Order: sequence, then C-alpha cells, then structure tokens
Amino acid sequence: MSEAAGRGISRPWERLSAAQRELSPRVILGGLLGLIAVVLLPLAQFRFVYDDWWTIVSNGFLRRPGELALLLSPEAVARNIPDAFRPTLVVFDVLTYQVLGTSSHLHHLLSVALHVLVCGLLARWLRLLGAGVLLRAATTAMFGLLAIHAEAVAVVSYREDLLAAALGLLALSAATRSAEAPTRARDLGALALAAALSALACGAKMSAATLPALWVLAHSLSPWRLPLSRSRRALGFAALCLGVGLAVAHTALLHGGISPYETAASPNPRLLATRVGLGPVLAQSTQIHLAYLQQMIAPFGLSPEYTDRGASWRDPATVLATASLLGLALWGVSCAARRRRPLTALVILGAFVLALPTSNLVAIPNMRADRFVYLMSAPVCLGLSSALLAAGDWLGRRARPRERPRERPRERPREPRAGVHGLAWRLAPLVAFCVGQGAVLVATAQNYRTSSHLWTTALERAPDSARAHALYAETLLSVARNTPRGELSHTLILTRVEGHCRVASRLDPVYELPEICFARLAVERRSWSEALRRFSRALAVSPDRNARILAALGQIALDVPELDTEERRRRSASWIARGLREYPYAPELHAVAGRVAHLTGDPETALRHYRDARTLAPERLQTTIWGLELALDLGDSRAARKIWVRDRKLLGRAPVAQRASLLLRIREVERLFPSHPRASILTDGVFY
Amino acid sequence: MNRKFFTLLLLAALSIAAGSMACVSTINELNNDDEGDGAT
Repeated sequence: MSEAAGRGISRPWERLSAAQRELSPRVILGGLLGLIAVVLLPLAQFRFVYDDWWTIVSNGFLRRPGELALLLSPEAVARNIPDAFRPTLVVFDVLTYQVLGTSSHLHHLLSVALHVLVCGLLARWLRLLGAGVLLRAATTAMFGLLAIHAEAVAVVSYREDLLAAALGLLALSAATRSAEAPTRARDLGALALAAALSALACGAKMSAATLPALWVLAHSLSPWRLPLSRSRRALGFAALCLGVGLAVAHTALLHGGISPYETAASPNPRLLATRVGLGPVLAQSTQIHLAYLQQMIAPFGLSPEYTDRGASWRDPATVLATASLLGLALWGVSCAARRRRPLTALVILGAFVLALPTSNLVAIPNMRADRFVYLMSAPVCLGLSSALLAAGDWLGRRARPRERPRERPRERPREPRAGVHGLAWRLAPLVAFCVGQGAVLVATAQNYRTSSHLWTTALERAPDSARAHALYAETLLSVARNTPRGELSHTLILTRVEGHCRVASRLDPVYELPEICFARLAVERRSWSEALRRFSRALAVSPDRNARILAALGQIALDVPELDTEERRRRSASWIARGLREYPYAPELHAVAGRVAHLTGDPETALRHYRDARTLAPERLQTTIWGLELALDLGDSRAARKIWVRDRKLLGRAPVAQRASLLLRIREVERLFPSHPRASILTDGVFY
Repeated sequence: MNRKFFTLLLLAALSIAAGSMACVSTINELNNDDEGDGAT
C-alpha cells in the first residue's frame, strides 16, 4: 500500500501539508522512537524485583540450554520449570541469560529496547493498513509514553508482555502482507510466517491470543483503504488462529487443560474464583476494566499491587461500570454495523477483543495489573491520537481564522494549513497529552527500582493486600539481618515485622506468604521449632513455587531442639529429597542439600551438591561461601585460596565482617595445613 | 523542518523529565543490601 494511497481516504487532520511533508516519515518515526528510548533510559539503573528472581536469577533451567526440548513435554511441569507453559519466553530468557548474564542493568535496557521495538512494529502495521503518517506517528508516541506501561517496561520478568506484543504485531503484519504478495508461493510463505509468529506470540503470553480477531476487525472495517476480500480475510484469520491453536495445544499438553493455573481435578486456592466463584469476580472485573480505561486517559491510581476481591452485580459501582462498558461496546458495534466511523469501531471493538484474555473469564492469579493493559492499549492509543489530532485541527481553525487566504478555493476548506504555526496548533493537544503521560510513566516506573521501594509503595497503595504486608515484612527482615543482633533497633525491627506478618495473616489466613513471613521471623529469632511449624503450614497451603520452603525445611530440621539427632536427620533428608525431586533446577535446594551433607559429615555428597548448585546459578553468593567453607573445613588451603582469588568479585558482595572472617580462616588453614598440589584433599578443588 | 522537529522532541524530553521529577513520590527506601541468598 503506497503512502499516497493511504492518504487518499484519511481524515484531514491525519495528513501533513505540503510544507510539513518535507519531513520524511522515517525521520519522524526514528525521532519518536529515539525520544521514547531516551525517556526510558533511567530504567537501566533499576534492580531485579518481583518474579525476576524466580524466572531469571534463581532459575537453574536457564543454565541448561541443552535441555530446552523438555519444554515440549509434560515433564516440564513435573520438574517445575518456571513459566514452562510460555516456551517462547523461556527460550528468550535462556538466550538473554547466555548473552547478558544476571546484569539487571542490561536486562532493563533489553526491556526498553523491546518496548521501542513494539512501538516501531505498531507504526509499521498501521502503515500497512494505510494510516496517514501523522496518525501513525501520534499513535506510536502515545503508545511509547503511556503511563500505564510503567510496570510492563520497568519489571524485567514482565517482558513477556512486550515479547508477546512484538511477535503478535509481526504476525499481524505478515498476515496483512500475504494479501499483497505478488505470487502464490510468497502468499503461502507469508501466511505460514504469520501462523508461526502467532504461535510464538502466544507462547510468550496468551494475551496475544485474540490478535487474530483484531486483524479481522482491522481489515473488515478498514478505515483507510478498501477492505480485503472475504476469502483473503478468512485465509489470514485462519493462519493466525492456527498459531493460537498450536500454543493452546501446547498448554493443554503440559497442563491437561487450557488454563495453566488450575485443572478441574486440582483447584488453585490462589485464584479468587476458586474461593468465591466466577460471578463476583466478573462483577469486579467490570469495575477493573472501566478503571483501566480511566488510567489510560487520566493516569492516576497506578499501583504495583491491587487487592483481589469480588463484587456484587447489584453494587452501584458494578452497575455503572457494566452500563458504561456495554454502552461503549454497543457504540462500537453500531458504528461497525452501519459502516460509519470505521476507526471508532476498530478502536472500541479492538480494545474489547484484546482485553478478553485477562478479563478474568478464565481465572488468573492476579485479577488486575497495569501490565495486562499493554497490548489492549494499542487501539486505545489509536483512538485517542485521532481524537487529539482532530481537536488540534479544530483548535487551529478557531485560533487563527484570519490566516486563511480568501482566494483559497471553497472546495478545499479543510486542507491542513502549511507551515510550522499550523502544525504547532494541530499538535498542541497531542503533545501536551504525551508529555503528561510520559512524565507520569517515568515517575511511576520509579516504584519498581528496588524490591524495598516496590513493596513500600505497594503497601501505601494497597494496605489491604496480604502479599504487600508479607513481602514488606521480608524487606524489613533484610534490614534486621544487617543490624547487630541484641541491639534495640534489631528488636524494634523484628517487632514491626511481626506486626506486618499478623496483618497479612488476618487478611488472608490460607495464603503461604504470611506463614513464610512468620517462619523467617522465627529464623531471625532463632526459634527453630516455630520456624519449622510455620514453614510446614506454608507448604501445606502453597500450590506451587515451593523450592525455597522445602530448602528452608531441610535446613531448619537439623536445628529443632525437640527432636533427637536421628529424627532431625531423617526429616531433613526427607524434605531435601522431595525438593530435589520436584524442583531439580532450583539452585537453593542443591546448595542446602550440600550444606546439610557438609554439616553432617559427608563431604563427598556436599561437594557434589555444591557443584550442582554452582552450575545452576554461578552468581549465587551463598553457594560460593559454603563451598569455600567446605574447603577450609577439609583443610584444603589451596582449594580455598583458588575460590577466594577467582571469585573475588562475587565474594565482594558479602558483608565485610563475613569476608574478613573468611580471609582469616584461609590464612589460618594455610598456616596449619600448608598445601601442596599432591597433598590437596580435593584434587579438582571445589569449583576450580 | 528537521531542525524544528528535533527541537520539539528535545523540548518534549525535557518537559517529561521535569514533569516526572514533579510527579515522583519520595519514599524512604530501606537499606537492605541482603546478598545472603539464604533459603531460610
């Protein structure tokens, strides 16, 4: 589709005047993408937060690229590979880990690059649809700077949304291009590519599953050019749906159903629908979606945490939200049915269609999150951009009516005025909106810069969230660990932690996080029996992600004073064996298995587990320290010195007192057991 | 025209930076450099 053809049926405010056309579309798009990248550059300073630890830092599967084929079998779920039902994302994470390691800065830069890529691909698809250059540029700028995207871009593990959007837009473009292919072979090639990209997009996140419907809407309503024939639309739709079907089949293969979160046989207590039923969840969901719309237009109330709750269908807020959404949907359907205002119909129906995967019709662990809006916001940005350009056009005509030359022919009264002044008036509302959104985007992104900052903000915004209280308490515990034990400040921090644990437990009595909160508090207080009891309760109510609980139980069981020595060992071995069986890629479990063997006098087993833990997470400080201590306990000064020298950067992250203590021990062992290569107990060292 | 366009982008970037500083909430960050990686 040529640029001229695209402009042929675009609205006056979507076109550039002759003077303004001096700017190449590529320069405009490149400049805007550069602006988005520059604005988001501060995110590179952020740390890992939320699920980043689970999916990237402590995910041993990323260090085993040779086992990627496992993702195509139910064994991936049996081995608890994080996000196994999102194979595209896991493969992407494996590749990025190989290139970027665990540098949070580089991973954040990658997220920014992905977001910029999505903006570029959105502009490209709009060009293929025939949208004018000004509308494309406006939509791209607005999408790139929309404040509600802060969460998706600022949290590394939420790049699943960015990846799904990028691959999904590529799939849409491929399907659109197939209609223009000069030969049948190329046509089929483009359709096959569209199907593959659609499958990959849904393999990154199922939020892309309704993109085929958006594609059909775009080509049926076709606001800027003649619609595709019915057969062409059917072909493109079928190709895109084939990709979605493949992704759904993969999830069904792994989990035995379309939902990866629960099956009919094993309901998931983390899903609110399991506890209160689907009706109240859907009633609340109507309010949530109206709030999404408000947050996209007026970005206040953005939060890293929202509390899941049900609502009544008779609640005035639900009635109002349902009526508003129904009204919008009816307006969209009416525009589509009467073939009037096709852009309005595309924007409204497109947003509804893209909202479906996260609309709680299929239960998901979080009912509401800012990141769910990422893909859905694309048609909304298109609609808002068009409206703001129209408003700017109206403003320009109202502000300087005398500038219109009298000799201008009457049949062209709405031709955009030439020159920079005309353009400035036309762009003023759009620029003001984008600058406002961009400012809130950057400010909101700051909430995600560290875990402590995140949970402090979450607690402020969602004080009735059990998760926010429990995880805030854990950040406080981290502070307590760096405070001298026995000092008043240490006791006071632990009291605050206990308060948050209690509130969390009261807010949600059947949630594992409050129990883990109590358990870690008990560990800090050296109350091993209480810690064991709390971790056991956490394990009883937790449906998944239990590697850390099992590792903790295996370690604590050795210290419980009420049990005799044999019972302690038996219980510890039992927890660890279960952990290693269920979570073979969890480095903390291998490290704890090594530590328990180390403490119970089995150095060979300890060495084996430490090496496994090291392979699964070479960046893990605890494993390195325990490996070094094993060498010291065995009197192998050579092995200890090797670790000290080669891992000096890693060990530099340890507290100063611990480093000093280790160095003193190394020197003591070197003095007591002067090592010789042949006299070394560990011929291959611990890790080197 | 190119120069005017890039000036507009520069002004937009500066406005966003200034606006974000006005919007950002100041929350006292906890000092929790905990690199223990401990399972417990």
